[in-house]
Amino acid sequence: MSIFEYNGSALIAMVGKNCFAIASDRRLGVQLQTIATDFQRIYKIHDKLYIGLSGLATDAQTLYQRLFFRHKLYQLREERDMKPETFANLVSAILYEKRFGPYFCQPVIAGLGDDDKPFICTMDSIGAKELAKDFVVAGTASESLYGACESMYKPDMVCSIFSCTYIYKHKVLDIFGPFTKPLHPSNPTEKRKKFMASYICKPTKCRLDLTNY
Amino acid sequence: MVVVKRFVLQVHRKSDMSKAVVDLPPKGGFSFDLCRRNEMLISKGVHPPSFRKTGTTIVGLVFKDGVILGADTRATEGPIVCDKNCEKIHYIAPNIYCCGAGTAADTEAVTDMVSSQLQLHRYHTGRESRVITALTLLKSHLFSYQGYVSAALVLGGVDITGPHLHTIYPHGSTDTLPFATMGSGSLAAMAVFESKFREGLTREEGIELVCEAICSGIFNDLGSGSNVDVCVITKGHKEYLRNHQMPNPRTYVSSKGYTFPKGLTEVLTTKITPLKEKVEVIEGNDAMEE
Repeated sequence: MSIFEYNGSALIAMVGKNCFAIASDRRLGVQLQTIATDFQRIYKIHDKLYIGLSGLATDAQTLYQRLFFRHKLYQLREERDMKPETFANLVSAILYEKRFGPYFCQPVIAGLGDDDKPFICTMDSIGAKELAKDFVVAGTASESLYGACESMYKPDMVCSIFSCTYIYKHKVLDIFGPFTKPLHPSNPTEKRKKFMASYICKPTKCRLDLTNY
Repeated sequence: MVVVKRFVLQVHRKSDMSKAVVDLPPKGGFSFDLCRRNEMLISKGVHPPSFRKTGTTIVGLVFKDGVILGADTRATEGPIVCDKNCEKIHYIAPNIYCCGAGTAADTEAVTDMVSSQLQLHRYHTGRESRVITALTLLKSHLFSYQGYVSAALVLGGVDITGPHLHTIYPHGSTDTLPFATMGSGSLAAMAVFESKFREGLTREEGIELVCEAICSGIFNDLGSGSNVDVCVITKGHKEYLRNHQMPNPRTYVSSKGYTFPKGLTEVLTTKITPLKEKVEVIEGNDAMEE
């Protein structure tokens, strides 16, 4: 069993028309047992920059705290917010520093850069950046998400969030990692508990949706 | 007396604590503090993740006026293609470029590092960088990590002494060659080079040969794919032809497309936060003038 499948996670970020959307599942598990259904994986760095961290939950939280700290230091020194491209370089450097004893985390970074141009990027656990113009995925369900995105993505979608959630709907079973067992509806409210958090960010406002699927 | 001693002890402990807690930018180099924990996880049967590799075809050849480098653009993560159009030809100096195969993070980090070191060296000496300098910096770094920094590179450039092409292996050995290939598709590309290379190629012939070699890697090797990037370096001039050839276009696109009507996904709660406009305050300088 891989270290990424210990907690399980799925993250996706997409570029839409003058906006980006980033979405994650909210399940925290210990292998097959679900222990929380409201675990936060997407963190806000500043108004126009979000980072989602998939993989081992403890490393995700530690890494987020370190990155938030570095960003606050940057804000104090430079008196402005970090650009997403700069932040991606910072994350890459912090991950590569641990090349031979890495954080078991795959970040997905999404932000609005200069002139509110959307920027998304993902990395592997040692900081190899992948800049994409359309979508990025990370986590245990990444293979399924790649397939779904490749077929369903269109450029310039006004509300890429809906596409995110729709794509998620199709991949509901894969949120639990490679163990594709259907959920037992013995507890009818169980299905409602599978939340997903999505942030959609435009230049003037940011929207957080908690959706069911 | 006792009070004074205690006071001194407290101050000392406080500074120790702050040193441990504050995460200042480190002096540089790798940090191994998570290694023990990771080893413990491996011993419990939890496998470490696979890193993104650029299972690749990278080539270089020396032609009449300089050097031509070529690379494919696929990045893989295990059996999955994670990046269909990544850049494998890295900038080292205005007259030196380097193609990288192996672990993607390693090739990027090592080429960025050598690029910065060469920039500092240029400031110190006031001269154009030489390919042999980049070669020595790369090979000594890779050798000192005994092959653990898994970067296989094809380094090419034109300096005052002429055009140069070198290959660098992850353990730090180097070769100087008129034509070179590296990566998982190197055998396919080398087959093309061995049959068609000759000394004194023109620019057009060189580019065509490089493209043919990369295409042979793209079509015959599973680790290579997508498009062909080419970089032509001549004395005093370089040309980076990104996506020079795109032999793998996306042929089937569903004409209907997928529509996502609103309300398809049940939204439980929504929270909209308007973003405040950040106002720049430019202070008038009259306060200081007086």
